[in-house]
Amino acid sequence: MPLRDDDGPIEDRWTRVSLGEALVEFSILEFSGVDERGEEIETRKPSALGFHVANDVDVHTVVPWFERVALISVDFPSFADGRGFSLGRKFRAMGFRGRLRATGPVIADQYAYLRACGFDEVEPPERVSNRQPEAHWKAAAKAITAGYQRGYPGPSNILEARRAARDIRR
Amino acid sequence: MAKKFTPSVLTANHLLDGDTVWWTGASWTRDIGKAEIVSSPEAAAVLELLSGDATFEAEVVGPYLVEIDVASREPVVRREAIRANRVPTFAYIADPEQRQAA
Amino acid sequence: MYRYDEFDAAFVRERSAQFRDQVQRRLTGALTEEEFRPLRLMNGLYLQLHAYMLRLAIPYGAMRGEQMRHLAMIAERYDRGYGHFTTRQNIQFNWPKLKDVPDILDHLADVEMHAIQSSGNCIRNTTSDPYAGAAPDEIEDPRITGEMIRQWSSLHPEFMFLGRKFKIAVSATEEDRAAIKVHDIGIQIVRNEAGEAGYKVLVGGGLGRTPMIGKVLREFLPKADLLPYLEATLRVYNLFGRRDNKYKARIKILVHKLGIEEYAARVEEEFASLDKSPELDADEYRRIAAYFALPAFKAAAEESVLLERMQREDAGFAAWVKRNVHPHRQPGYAIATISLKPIGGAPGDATAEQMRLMAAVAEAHSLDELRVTHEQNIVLPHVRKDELYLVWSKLKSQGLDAPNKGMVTDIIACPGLDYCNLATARSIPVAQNIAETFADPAMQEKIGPLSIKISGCINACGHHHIGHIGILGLDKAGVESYQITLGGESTETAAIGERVGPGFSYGEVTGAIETLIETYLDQRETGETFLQTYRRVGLTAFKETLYAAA
Ligand code: SF4
Repeated sequence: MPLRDDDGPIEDRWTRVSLGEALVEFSILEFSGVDERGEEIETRKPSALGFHVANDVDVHTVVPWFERVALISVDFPSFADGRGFSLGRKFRAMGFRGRLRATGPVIADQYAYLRACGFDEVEPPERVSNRQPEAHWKAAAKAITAGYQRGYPGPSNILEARRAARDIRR
Repeated sequence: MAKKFTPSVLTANHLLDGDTVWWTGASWTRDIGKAEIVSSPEAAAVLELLSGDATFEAEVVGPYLVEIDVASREPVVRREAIRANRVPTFAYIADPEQRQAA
Repeated sequence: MYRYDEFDAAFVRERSAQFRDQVQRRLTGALTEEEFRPLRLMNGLYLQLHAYMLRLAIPYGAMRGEQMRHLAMIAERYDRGYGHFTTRQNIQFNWPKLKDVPDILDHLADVEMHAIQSSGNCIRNTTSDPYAGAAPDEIEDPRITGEMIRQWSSLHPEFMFLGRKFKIAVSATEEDRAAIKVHDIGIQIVRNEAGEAGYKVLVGGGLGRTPMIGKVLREFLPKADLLPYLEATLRVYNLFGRRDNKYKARIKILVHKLGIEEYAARVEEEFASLDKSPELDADEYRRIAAYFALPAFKAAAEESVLLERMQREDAGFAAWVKRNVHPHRQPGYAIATISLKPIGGAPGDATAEQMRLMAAVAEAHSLDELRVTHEQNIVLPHVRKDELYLVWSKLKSQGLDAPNKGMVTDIIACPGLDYCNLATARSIPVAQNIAETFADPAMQEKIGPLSIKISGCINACGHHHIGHIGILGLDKAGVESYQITLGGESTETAAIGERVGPGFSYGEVTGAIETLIETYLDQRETGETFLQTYRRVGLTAFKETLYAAA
């Protein structure tokens, strides 16, 4: 399925591998099936392993893996189900430094929110992305140039800008 | 025993202005009197199928079937009767033009 | 009053441009209706029975005259010449066209207004005490906190797609005029033992299908911690709230399921892990607070000779003063309520002419301030007592002088089946019938304070659960059926009303209310209000007379 980030469409070097299939270089595994994989993944090099997590995953069970995977893909079963936003935020807060991907029918208008919650890239299904040309993602990403929330990365932050203005006056 | 089929019309709200509209068989009308009445479950099913079409979505929002009384051409259910009347049931504050006309 | 700085101004401009673009993409098919719907809802745009409906945000219910005048312009230019003030201190227009909405949003931005998050599964417009800044009993102005929350919640990246809508109310007085106990989060400004102002935080209140009174989440929260604490509270809800059933998706259900202790524990854990920068929030608080400094009141004697005299001379005015005027913190001033419940009117509706009049009166006599109340009335918060008679005379010229605040005819009613897509029964005509039955001022005076609240479906926008008499309109096999509850209340002694028994038809419901009121008049002891009598004698006495007649 099409993958994109800030620079536009990108090539997906990752492969989703279901339980029972052999691992390949750059495999995304269902996190729920990790235990069954056992030793097989213990020996993989972290840069070539990724997880796909459901949006009701217990964050604490994922934390021990943070150093051992390069990518976490978070499931967005529908664009209206916003649990993934909090999940992304939590993964970042708890120290995940790898690639964070939003997988599911998210729309261009959500891209800026996803970025602010720590996601790097999105992978919507064809039926959604076909309707949303690249220009829409680009435009939506910068529709709102400054936000009010402290600590959420974004183009610019109103509270910081106000503080800067105050400091200059002082 | 299956429920007896009640003749129905297809309704929706117009995308651009929100007005209540009905399907004539060829286009959307603001007059329920001009709506196409389907009298069989089969015809209704065809209409419902049609209503999911993208060309419908380009013009209206949320099409669905409404049961009507064929003789009076009034919807059977109160909600739909109010909708077909296009205004609230009490003397609401209308716009200045309407108030002048009244 | 808060004024936008350059950043706020740019933000609402960008927001309206963004919506214009979203509308365009809906028209070209780039967005499906399913995708567009939540986007338009987040900008206050619903599709109702007859037309679109646009709900604008009036943050904590506060407006300047210029803003009210702008609403009048929008009502005339883009709607049918009137607007409807809602129980959430907002206004909604019933007949806008989708193609005009981006223009309307631009007009709003001209006067520092918007429609952001006035609907949708996100953090809604924050409500507050309509007497804020004028009430004698407040610890500090709750609008400062309301404005902090308004900004923080605007397009919050993490909380735009919650399981369900999320409502926050702030109050700063012991007497609760903001119904904080029936909000997802209720915030009361309190003092701790050291005398510092901070917040008591309630969670999990709400009406709707499963009405609940909020529970204490934190007894005392230092002011600078507010935003991180809200972030933690919302995150726990967003992660753990139900998504499979929209009737079980509100935070109250999660709080109920986990228990308040467990919910609080999860919030505290989340809160502890957050990176806080209290200095920044405190700076921001001070910046906002400066806008809410006390206005320049004129020094005046507490008693007004003119007011006393006119009350003696004009019985109509005296009745209005008795019911619609409330004490002010400043000697010589009063808080006046403009009732939007004239007998025969639709509760909460005002015409463009009336809006313009209210704007002009506010500018001339209320230091340019207006408030919308959750009782669907308008408040003039700062009126000099000497000017009350003049104010009343002006209001009277447009039928805005109903002397019925808090009385049996001051009925709250949601739009119901006359407008609302989700309704199961009408509510406005029911309110009109009841008001007409009790129109006689002497009768109203005899009955005393009584709140009747009517909702046209289980969603409870008319707050029927917290009416002394609540009426819920349902659909029983195609027939409107009205269920009556008694003993509800919205203030610091909030209670959910109890159901009396089987419902009444549209034709019967007014008679049923008459019977209930007669029962109260029979049973009451000297000086008792309806609610007091009800609390003393209980449901059974009312039930007996109500169903004996049948
Ligand atoms: S209570 Fe029901 S009928 Fe009334 S406005 Fe809310 S959703 Fe509509």
